[in-house]
Amino acid sequence: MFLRRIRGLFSNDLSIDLGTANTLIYARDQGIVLNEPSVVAIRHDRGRGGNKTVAAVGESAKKMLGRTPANITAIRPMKEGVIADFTVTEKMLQYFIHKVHESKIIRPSPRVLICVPCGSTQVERRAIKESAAGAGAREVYLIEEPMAAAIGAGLPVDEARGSMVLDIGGGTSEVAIISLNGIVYSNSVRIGGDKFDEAIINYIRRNYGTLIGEATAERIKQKIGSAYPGNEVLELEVKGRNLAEGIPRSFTMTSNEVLEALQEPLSGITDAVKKALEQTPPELGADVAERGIVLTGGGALLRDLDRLIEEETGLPVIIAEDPLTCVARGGGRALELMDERGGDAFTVE
Amino acid sequence: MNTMSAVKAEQQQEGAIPLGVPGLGERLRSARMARDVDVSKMAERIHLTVDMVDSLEHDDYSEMPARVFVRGYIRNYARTVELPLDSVLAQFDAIWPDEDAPVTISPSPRLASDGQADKSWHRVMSWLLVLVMLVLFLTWWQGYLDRFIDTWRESSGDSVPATPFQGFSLDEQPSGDGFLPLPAAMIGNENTRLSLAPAQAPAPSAESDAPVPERDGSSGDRDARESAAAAVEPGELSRPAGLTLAADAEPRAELETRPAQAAAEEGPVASAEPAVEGILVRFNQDCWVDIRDSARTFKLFGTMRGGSERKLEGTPPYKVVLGNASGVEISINGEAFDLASQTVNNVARFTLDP
Repeated sequence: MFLRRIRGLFSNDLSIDLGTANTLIYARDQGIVLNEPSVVAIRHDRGRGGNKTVAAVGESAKKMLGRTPANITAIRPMKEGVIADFTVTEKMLQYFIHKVHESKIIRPSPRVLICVPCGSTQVERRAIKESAAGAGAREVYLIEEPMAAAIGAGLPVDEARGSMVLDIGGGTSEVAIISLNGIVYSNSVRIGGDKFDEAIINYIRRNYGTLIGEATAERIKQKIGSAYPGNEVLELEVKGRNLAEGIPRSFTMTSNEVLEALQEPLSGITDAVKKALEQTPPELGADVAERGIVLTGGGALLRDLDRLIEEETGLPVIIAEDPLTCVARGGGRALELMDERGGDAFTVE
Repeated sequence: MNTMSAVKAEQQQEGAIPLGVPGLGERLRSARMARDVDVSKMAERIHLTVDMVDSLEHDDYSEMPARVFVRGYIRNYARTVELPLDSVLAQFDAIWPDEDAPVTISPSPRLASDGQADKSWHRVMSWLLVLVMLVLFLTWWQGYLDRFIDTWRESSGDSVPATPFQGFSLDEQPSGDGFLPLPAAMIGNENTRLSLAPAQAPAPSAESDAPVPERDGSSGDRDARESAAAAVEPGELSRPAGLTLAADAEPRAELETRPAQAAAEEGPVASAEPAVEGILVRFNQDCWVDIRDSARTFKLFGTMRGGSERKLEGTPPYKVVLGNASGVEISINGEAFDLASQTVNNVARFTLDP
């Protein structure tokens, strides 16, 4: 314990957005120092009972997804915002923490604040906490993602006025009403970027009889994905394995088709927002109606998603500046505020 | 929000917005007018109140909520009237800069470029430090080990190790035939190892089949002898008297037990063999031995091969330990020494004082 404190002197306080798709690390006074996919490639040694070693982590591991030989497995250890593989998550966190302290001679032992989905259970939170402690963190704090996202987006969370934030991540979408540094209402639905990809894969298999991988689906979503019919129609050539012929074929997909494919997960998100508005106390609801809903997270980058929610709710919808990093930045700011106020105003544990 | 208006006014006075470019509100308003959309219609489209739209068009943010909201409203407005978003937002950022602007964000900025030099410098220093500490430790360990071995050897005179030690004597003089019996371990490891006999060693054997260069028996042509010995095949070796060549165990043993006839042909070598004076130890069988004189100038230590014999030199008395006493005979000035009286369980431990 004492040694950890000593090592802590040589470590930066970190805020980690341990996301399903990407992990971001915000270091105090430095900003975002790491933004890598939450993917780990594991190499299995030959023979029975062979050792498992980490072959790659982050960007290099993501490139291996769906392209690995028999002795390598590329894993996404986070599923739907929570830990699916405890050991691999710990290794990944360890790697990332070491990476942001690469120039340090002494092994890092930072204070770490990790963002967790508001819908996560006690067990899931405990797993994340222990995983970070196992990765070398001196102290671990948890903060709920919508709160971190609101702080990161610059919402006046300390005011006695309701602010509504919708954070669409890789595995979950969180909606929350915040007032006076606290969450008045929150809801988490297990719909996110991954579900969008899955919906695109299913659509193409159903309509084109062609199988595509997750990486291709993600590319389609990013290039021509749209949540609301726009004036121009975008097209993209897609290659996949034709299920009937069994050989790779290419075809052209339009943004309208992607919109059609995404209808189901998108309606899940809009339903969650509507439900939140229904559950919000009237005074806070009025504040939200006056000022609008703020979108954060990688999902906010889906074209015209703000317009869809605007049309569905009739409220102004605002995309936060740099929505991808809002949660990590908000966590970092929460760490600073904790030090300034000498308490743990935002943390949940 | 009054502060914000003041900030905006100050920046406009300082010329933060270039001259000739209309104000942001004016730009939005003219774009709306160009599309023939009235304020109430615009407010309906972007889900704001008419007052708020009006405030946006007059760059009056005093009654507006936090910056994030205003920036969002302007973005939505600009998108509705199809103005270029980037330039509109840049103009807004100039009017109302983000005070809590995050540090420049790029994917893993520190990892890609920054701190590489620092990192390598740190790494080199760390390794140097580790290396220095390793060298210091090894130096200390070497000294400690030497001291430990010395202490152990001192005490080992009183007890015989359970496993015979494959050692050999370096202090001793060569016996009459000029050959040193080398231990099996050494023979197994190296095919050709040389040890030089004294300068007055006899001339080389006439039996030598190897192309040995000419020698005059002096120590000055050591190099020539070594090279010649190295060229000799171990199996068919007949060695010069001045050289001991440790090769395969078999030929070496053969050489050590050469018949008297061959020895006789060597002249001076044969005549020096039976040393009558002094203490002679003859090994009929392989035997582990540790003999030391009182002045510590002579030491015979290790496993001696059966069929060899040694003359003890140095200063008596000798501390003698024989691991296989029944296979050893000791004669003092030609008289046999009674070894059986000193032997317990075939191990003899005694002090020999002739």
